[in-house]
Amino acid sequence: MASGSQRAGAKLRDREVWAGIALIAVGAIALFGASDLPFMTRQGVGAGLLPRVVAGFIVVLGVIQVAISLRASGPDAGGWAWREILIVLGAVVLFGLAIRGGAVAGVTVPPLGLVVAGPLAVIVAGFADRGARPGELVVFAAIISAVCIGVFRFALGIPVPVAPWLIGY
Amino acid sequence: MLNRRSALALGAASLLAAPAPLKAQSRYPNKPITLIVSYAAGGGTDAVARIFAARLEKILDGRVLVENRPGAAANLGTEAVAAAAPDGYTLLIGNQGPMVVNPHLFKRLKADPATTLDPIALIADASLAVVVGPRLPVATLPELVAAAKAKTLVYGSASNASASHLAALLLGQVAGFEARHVPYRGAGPALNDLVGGHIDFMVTTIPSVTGLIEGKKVSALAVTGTSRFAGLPEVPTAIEAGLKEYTASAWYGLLGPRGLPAPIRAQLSQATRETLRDPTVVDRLKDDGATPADLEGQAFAEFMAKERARWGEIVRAANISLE
Amino acid sequence: MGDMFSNLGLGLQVAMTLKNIGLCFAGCLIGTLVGVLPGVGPVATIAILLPVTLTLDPTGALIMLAGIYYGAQYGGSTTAILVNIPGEATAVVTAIDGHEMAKNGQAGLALGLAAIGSFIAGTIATLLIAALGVPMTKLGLLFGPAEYFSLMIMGLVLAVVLARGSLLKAIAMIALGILLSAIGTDIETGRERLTFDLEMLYDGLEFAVLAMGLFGFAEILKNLQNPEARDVVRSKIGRLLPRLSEIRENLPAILRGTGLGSVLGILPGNGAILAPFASYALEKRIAKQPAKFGHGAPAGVAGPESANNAGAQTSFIPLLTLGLPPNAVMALMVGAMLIQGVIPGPQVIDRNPELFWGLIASMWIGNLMLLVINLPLIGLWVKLLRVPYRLLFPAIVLFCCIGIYSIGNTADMVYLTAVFGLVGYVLHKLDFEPAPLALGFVLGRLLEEKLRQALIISDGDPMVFLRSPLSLSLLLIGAAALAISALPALRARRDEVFAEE
Repeated sequence: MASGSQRAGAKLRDREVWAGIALIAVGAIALFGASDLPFMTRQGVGAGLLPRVVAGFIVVLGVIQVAISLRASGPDAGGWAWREILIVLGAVVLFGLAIRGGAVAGVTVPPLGLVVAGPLAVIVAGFADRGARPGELVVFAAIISAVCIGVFRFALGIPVPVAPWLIGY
Repeated sequence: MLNRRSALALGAASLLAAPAPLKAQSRYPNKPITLIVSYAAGGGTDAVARIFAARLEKILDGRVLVENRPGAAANLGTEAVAAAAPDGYTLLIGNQGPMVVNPHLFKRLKADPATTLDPIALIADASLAVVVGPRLPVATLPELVAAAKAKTLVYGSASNASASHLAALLLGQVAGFEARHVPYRGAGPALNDLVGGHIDFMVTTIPSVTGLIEGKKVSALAVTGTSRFAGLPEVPTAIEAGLKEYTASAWYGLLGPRGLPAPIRAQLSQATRETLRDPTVVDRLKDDGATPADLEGQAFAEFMAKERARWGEIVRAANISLE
Repeated sequence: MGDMFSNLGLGLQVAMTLKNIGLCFAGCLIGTLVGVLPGVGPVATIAILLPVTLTLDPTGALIMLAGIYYGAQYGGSTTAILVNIPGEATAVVTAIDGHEMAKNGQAGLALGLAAIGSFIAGTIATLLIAALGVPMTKLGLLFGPAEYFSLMIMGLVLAVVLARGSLLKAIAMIALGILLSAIGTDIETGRERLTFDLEMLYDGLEFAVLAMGLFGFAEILKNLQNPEARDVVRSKIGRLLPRLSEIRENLPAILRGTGLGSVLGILPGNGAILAPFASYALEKRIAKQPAKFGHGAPAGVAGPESANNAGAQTSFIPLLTLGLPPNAVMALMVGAMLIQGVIPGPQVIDRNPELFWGLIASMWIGNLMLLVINLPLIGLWVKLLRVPYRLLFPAIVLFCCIGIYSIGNTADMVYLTAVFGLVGYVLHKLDFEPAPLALGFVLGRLLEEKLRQALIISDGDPMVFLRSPLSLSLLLIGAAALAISALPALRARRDEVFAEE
């Protein structure tokens, strides 16, 4: 009894089982998303043929993967770096919001340009590392942002906004 | 190694080294103008826009920055300009696809060009060429029509609902035949299959085939404009070749958000006129098989309305929809 | 043959003028820069510089633009090796073993082999273009939609070999890549597919978005979770340049890669992207210790890099001999020629011999220059790895953000990249590999497009794929390769051969 529930508990953390479940989920979402697309049309192969066949195939692979891994015990998936994910990807999203403005959850962000979005992304992302040193990070953020403005905007001529609120572009 | 304070000062100084803000002046333009292109960098419209912008900068004496806003079958660029302030600092290079064809293809357009944009001036008008490859050895347009009536032909296009596709559809409607359409990603791959003998014919932009025609890899049966093209003097127009009602062209125009102040509008159409007198611009347009146009303001708007009605009929007859 | 050398002589004369050497150098330098910067890429750069080239003569303008193109290929491998961010599909393969080498303290060796391999490949490909450019054009024309479809099927089978671990998971990743490539507007019917009504998905996913998320951001998250591992890696930095014996060991791989790349480069519709994948698959298949692949095998960098550069070079053939651009960069070159009043097409070789041969000769000079620019730079790049990771990774995040933003001048793509960063991390956690996914993604689009084109042309007859001898042979090769890959798995010995973790 005890060993049975222990085994079931191990299965809940088994990387290989989750890999199979993930495949089934992705395939199922795609099958749902493509369900309104025609398989074949008068002109020939329809828009839905390839996505539905491939999505179905992924579901089948997922089922096989789960079946195989239920029989043998695989390694634990290990801890998830939720803190790092949240901070790094959050920094990326903040960059996107600040660069030319946008609205999220009722808050409207004006177009702030690279002058703000650059240091913002660097500083926020930097805190994902547990050894981050705030002073150093701020200085580094200013320097690297200045370099980016020089390289992307002025050397390469890419029309990325610099500081629309200050200098008009 | 820099100490922290001096590094900070350096960083701040380089941030401030960006050009200082210009004092508000009554003069237009007093800051960079953004010229939006609804396609990714590198396409035909993009090239025309960049050449045009380079000249326009000199004439207006202010920066003109080309900004690519590709997406949603070029509707994203239209939406961006429609939503911008009508102050003359956000302009659009519009071509016939998003300006007059898309309103028929998309039932839910967020910004209808006819009501949300102000047409400033038509820049250029380019005719197309009807070409055949080794798979269909015919020498004239009537022979092509006869072959198409005898057996279903296969034609390629630069993409679904492109000028190349619609012009070929129109050819079938005018001449009375139906053919199978193979859409490609751009004229290049389609022409490769035409030269390789995998498809029968194409109606395509002239600069993409001039070299192949001269090198005898494909033959041109007709051009689709109202007059012959200077670079291909021996190729007749479709009208001359016997299809009295067949003309088609691809065009580019300058537009802004609806409600541009009259003086800025006048200044822009004047500048466009001057740009189109510049030999480099004219030569580049000629290479594109295009001729500089001289329609401005109201006349350009009327031209767009006519084009819109005409392509609408073709789209409806062929039952194309992108939604 | 004599003809070829007198022609190349003419070309060298044109290319060796001080001005053209200067332009070639400027192009290579700009190219290296935009190649190193993730996301920017040669297409946007060349488009922006197009009006500038108006002030140059046609030959000079094309020499400079060509320099940007192959310079970007070099720069792209640098980023792939150092920080595991492949900016373009062709660098995905380099990232697999190249980044592993960098982690083992062999960044210098990887960068050096990539540079030297590319130079050798570039030299051979240049001679090949000069000698066989015109006849090779015909090979490209043989590939209609049916033949191309079969080639893609063969390519997908090769992708299986890219995987380090489970065969089933590798196949699932290829399938997922194909599925992701279907997102967006269907080119044939114009219908929205798998977009779930999100406007940012209407035009499909950009490869750079996928690659920067799955490889770049996921790599950063992995490193942040394992601070010990990443700091140990960074403390040992090996020699900067490969030894002569190491170059000799990898020469066969370089030459095989060059051969594969040269042939695939001339195919229409960017067949060159298959070249590094094919080379990697071949090297792994014939290696004495295939288990080393995926864990820092030098041949896994030297072969694919050579294939990549050879393909980049021979993709000029359809442009020069027919005026047909096989990829977006070449389409821009057509634009540049037109601006200059040169009509691209079969007649260029007779009408503008100095341009034709000058450009070809400049390719070789450009490759030499890239070697000269890049070998000393290797030291600098490797030092970059000494920058404390707590500062290096926020800088990478910023560079990626700006690069991604600049593709469409919209924040939407930045958000999508963040999503794929999360996806990449999950894939890593569940022991899926992103490389087969990347290949499935790039080939998936072509696969479906060519399938449907072939079936429209044949009026729905599926036998079209078997009737063409070329198409049939490609399918048979694919089937044979699949059988060889699957057999060890069936005998349950695959784990011994492939996985060693």
